[in-house]
Amino acid sequence: MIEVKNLVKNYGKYEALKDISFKVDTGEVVGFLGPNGAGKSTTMNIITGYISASSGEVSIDGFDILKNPKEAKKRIGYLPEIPPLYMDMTVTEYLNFASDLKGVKKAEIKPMLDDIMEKIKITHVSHKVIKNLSKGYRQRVGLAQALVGYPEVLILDEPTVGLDPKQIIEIRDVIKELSKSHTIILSSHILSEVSAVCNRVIIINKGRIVASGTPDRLSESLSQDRFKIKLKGVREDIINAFKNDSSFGFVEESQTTEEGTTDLVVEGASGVDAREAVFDNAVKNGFKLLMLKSEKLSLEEVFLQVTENENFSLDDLSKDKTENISSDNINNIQKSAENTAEEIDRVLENTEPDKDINEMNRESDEK
Amino acid sequence: MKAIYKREIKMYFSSMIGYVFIAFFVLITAVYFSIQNILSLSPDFQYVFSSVIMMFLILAPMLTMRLLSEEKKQRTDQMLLTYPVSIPSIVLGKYLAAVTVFLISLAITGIFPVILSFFGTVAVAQILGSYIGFFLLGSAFIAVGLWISSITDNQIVSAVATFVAVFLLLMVETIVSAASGSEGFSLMFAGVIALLIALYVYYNTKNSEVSITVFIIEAAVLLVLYFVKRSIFTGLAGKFAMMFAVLTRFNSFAMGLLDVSSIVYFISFIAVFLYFTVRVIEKRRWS
Repeated sequence: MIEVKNLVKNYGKYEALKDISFKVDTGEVVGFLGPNGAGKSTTMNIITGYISASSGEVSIDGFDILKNPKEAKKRIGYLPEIPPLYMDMTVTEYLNFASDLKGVKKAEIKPMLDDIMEKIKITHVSHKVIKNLSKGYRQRVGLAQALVGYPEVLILDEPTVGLDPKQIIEIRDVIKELSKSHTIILSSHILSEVSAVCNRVIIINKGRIVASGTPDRLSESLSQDRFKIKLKGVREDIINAFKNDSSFGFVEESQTTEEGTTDLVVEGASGVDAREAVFDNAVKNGFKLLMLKSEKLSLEEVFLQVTENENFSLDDLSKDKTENISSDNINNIQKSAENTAEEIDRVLENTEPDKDINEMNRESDEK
Repeated sequence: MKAIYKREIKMYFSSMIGYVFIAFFVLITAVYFSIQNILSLSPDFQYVFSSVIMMFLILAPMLTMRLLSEEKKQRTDQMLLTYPVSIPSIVLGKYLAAVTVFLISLAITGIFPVILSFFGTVAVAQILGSYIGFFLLGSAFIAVGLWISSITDNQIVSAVATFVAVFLLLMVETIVSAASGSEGFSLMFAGVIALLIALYVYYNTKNSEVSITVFIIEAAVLLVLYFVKRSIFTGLAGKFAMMFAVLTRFNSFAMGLLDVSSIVYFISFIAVFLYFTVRVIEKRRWS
């Protein structure tokens, strides 16, 4: 549905986007994640045709945004970071104008707007002048504007920014509802939002895609074979027994909330299933195993890992979605994967992750 | 284009601007009509327009100052440019809306010559001519104003710059007659143009060496020409400036001449500024 190929955008000497490529299939909900200034809005502005890329191509449903802008733009509903509202119009006037501009047939405008306002829940403010609406309602009117003409693709730039928690949940629900019938690209720097709404995440940092995949995969792949266990027994004994066991590559005590127990985070040495080793060790030393669960990195931690180190790059982690990646992209990923294989190894097999990340940060700072 | 046009017209009349514009225009015209026609018992309405031309200084900025600058400021240009409408149709929609408001006020003043016709013989051809000329003149100023409002995102800057531009356009003849003839002045003028070209090169390439080289070459050529063949510079600045002498063109209409070349002149003048406006908007997308 949306194909983005080798986008580059330069502002003078500053490179805002450095070779961004990705594909979004019909019906997918893709989350664009990145710190401020990563290039999310720039990418979205290019996809929607607001600004032009220095090089690269964007096509929507096969229509190039530069060569065939009318057809491409008809298929897009865009909610920019700041909703583009005419403050001195009423909501109805504004949406009527949007419909006219999109070329919706006159007879269809009224039923369409009624339907959209119903969906977004702004029917009761339809006669109000936009300048008198609260931030949350303005955001909704902006969203309604994006839905005018029922475009197949929705591009939403930080749709919940600046809203209160209740409004965030409401807007999120609306987006979830819309995702059933639309292809959506949504940008955010709030990770819980992305993991709640999207079925794929693209993490972008300093103008590059640094990781992409389903939210689950992203966090899984960075915390392979790491488990949190809870044991009952004498604390020193447990720690000694596990630290001296060569079947573990990594052992660290973590805070316990239950008296008389000790919590550990362990990782198997290479080729060893840590779960079996934990069982064996506990049986051998007579500890009682109260809990064993795999510890995933939260999306937050993944995000910090991939964005804080400039050279860090991940292979595309959604292996079941490899068909979504263009061959160019695979090449790029392979290239960057080779360069950074060492670092990935370190992250995946590290012995003390916190220290390691700190080291990596220090390295990147030095660079 | 139709949607933009409709919205702008609605905007003029839902805010005060449209009414204030029309009221101001009709009032000033009425004052001159009273003085020049009624009080002095003269049926020559065509001279009224020549007298009220100065009010474009205020009227042109009033109509155009927010047209494009406000879109940029409120970020609503993001909506217009991502909708399936082309930039020329956006510009044209806005331009025609402003011209329509001007045309409405012009139509209202049509009552004055009708009144006169009851009491005396009016020169129909001259009055019609001056109406057409005045309309084209105003439309040209509106095109300039629209272009200026596309450059800035500040209404006040847009208004002041339009005021200055209209003022310069109205003063072209005066300035030329005062300053032309001297070759030194023409050289200075050519130098300024050369500097502008160099700045334009810098603006587009951001390469200071190239633009400085361009300016040095231009300056050298000009100086050589000045010392070798000075006659080229005689009246050069004047000739150039007279290309913008809209008032001279208007005067031919007021005399009752329907001069085709003047009509073509005004239409090209408007087209060039509308084209500039489209370019400014397009340029912004690329930089």
